[in-house]
Amino acid sequence: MSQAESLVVVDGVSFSYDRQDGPIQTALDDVSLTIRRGELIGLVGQNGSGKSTLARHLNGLLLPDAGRVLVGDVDTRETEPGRLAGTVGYVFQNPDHALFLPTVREEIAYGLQFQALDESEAAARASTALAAFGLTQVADKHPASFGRGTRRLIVLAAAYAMAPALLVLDEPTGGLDYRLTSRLVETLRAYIAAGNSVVLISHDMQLVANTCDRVLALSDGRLIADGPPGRLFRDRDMLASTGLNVPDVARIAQALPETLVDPDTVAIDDFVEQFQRTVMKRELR
Amino acid sequence: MESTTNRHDAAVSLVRIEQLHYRYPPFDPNDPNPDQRWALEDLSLEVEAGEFLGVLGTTGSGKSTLCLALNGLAPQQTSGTIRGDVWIGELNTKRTPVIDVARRVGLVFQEPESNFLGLTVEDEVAFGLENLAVEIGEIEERVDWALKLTGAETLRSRSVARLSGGQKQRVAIAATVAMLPAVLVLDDPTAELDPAGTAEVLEVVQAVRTRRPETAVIMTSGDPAPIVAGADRMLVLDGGRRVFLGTPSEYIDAAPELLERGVAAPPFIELASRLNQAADTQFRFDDPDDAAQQMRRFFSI
Repeated sequence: MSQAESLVVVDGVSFSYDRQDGPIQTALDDVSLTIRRGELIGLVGQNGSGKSTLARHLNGLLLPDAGRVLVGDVDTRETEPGRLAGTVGYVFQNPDHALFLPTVREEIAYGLQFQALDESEAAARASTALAAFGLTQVADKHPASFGRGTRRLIVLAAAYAMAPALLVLDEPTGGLDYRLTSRLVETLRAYIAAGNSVVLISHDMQLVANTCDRVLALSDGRLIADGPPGRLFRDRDMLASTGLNVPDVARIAQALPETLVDPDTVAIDDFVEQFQRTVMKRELR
Repeated sequence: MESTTNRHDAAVSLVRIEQLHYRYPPFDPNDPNPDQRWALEDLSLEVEAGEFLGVLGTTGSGKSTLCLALNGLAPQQTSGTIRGDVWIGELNTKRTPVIDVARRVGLVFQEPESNFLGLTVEDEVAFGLENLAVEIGEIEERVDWALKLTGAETLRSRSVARLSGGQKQRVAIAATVAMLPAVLVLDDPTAELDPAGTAEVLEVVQAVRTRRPETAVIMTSGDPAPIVAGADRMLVLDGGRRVFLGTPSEYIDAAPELLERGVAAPPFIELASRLNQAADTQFRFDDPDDAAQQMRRFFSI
């Protein structure tokens, strides 16, 4: 898996916001990482830790002060964000920053006109995205006529329709209930199984633990952890220093003897499976 | 549990929602197929002075609409169709001018920015009072008091634009509390906040309850954890209808069924539900530590 093709390389990137009304604020400090095909990566950290700043470097919306970002073999400083949009899709935290057309279908089809697709292919892509996010029935309605959860599904579907190799989602589950969140996770898993990658920015540590096989943790603009969630959520000192919570399942697993549950367990599915195995073993004895 | 009619000391509750039905007007008047569903349907409940009611629900269940109905913005600003009533004491929110309801019901929105004009913290807190034509001397007193109560004194001369999300919500609550509302309504105030910001908001809500114990607090949340931990009672909505009303402990009992409906539960509750289904156990956890203890006992360790 480590041999998989790399999609985005972040190499020694530093970035500061130049503020007119205050001191220069370092948002990213010498960050290096590689995103490979087929990865579902969690990006965690407190508000202001640099998560969104890093995300905006992945598609060239921001350019590094030092270091470089390669998308495929293109240096983001040597191209325009528009040219990267087909490769890296970015869904903002606030859905209303991205909604401006009179119907859900038009909203979802909008980006496709910039891709070299014939009409029937574009229509098919839009329909697939509508179906994947449960929006087919409301395709002709106005996006603003819905509550926040549905407006979020619309912007997610619009980004998904573009079929970018890397999809970066900033807090994608805000406003989504349990059922819609589970459905989104299934959609993302199928998406990475097809060879794409996803970066999931979230404060919901249990969601990250259930979903991601690799987690990046940022604190004050520095990448302080990059590895499997089982390892990350055992590092209590690091978590405390970054203000991150230990997800419930990891907390429970860590409080039990290793003979019952692997202390690296963080996902609900994984916990339930191990529990069942332990019960069966004990019953056989 | 939900009836207050047996109480002999308080004849009527502060907040009374009686068979409330509300439907938004068609978004597009030319839509041949407008959505005819009620955003809130046949909702009845009462909230007492001093009580903290937490509200959970599925996507589009009517949580935000309920907040708007509590201070009369629905239907007075949103128009649409309303049946039934919302009473705040003796005020009927569909008939009383919103500015008069606003003296009794303070509303804090999800996005901190929606609460602000972009002034300094103290001007933001004073703004609502100025609109209610409170005298200048009293405005100053109330601003001081509200900033102190919410722990926002040190932010007083800062621009709200430069505050963290948690600090913004702290100031939004200060601005609302300065109006001395009988009811404090918060619409998913922690949705955009990290764990530290969420803790900050809950701490301020607790401070309001301690310093003004007669305030009724009604808070909706997408994340069930803060509600389960802090509320006296919980209301769960699905499709505009009430599907649960009870204490947090009763909610834990009902959670597996609510999870089936799509209502998110804290992970330790979801875990109990999943284990009971998969391994035929009968777990009911109060929190993650209780979960670990019960599992040790289960395996006789």
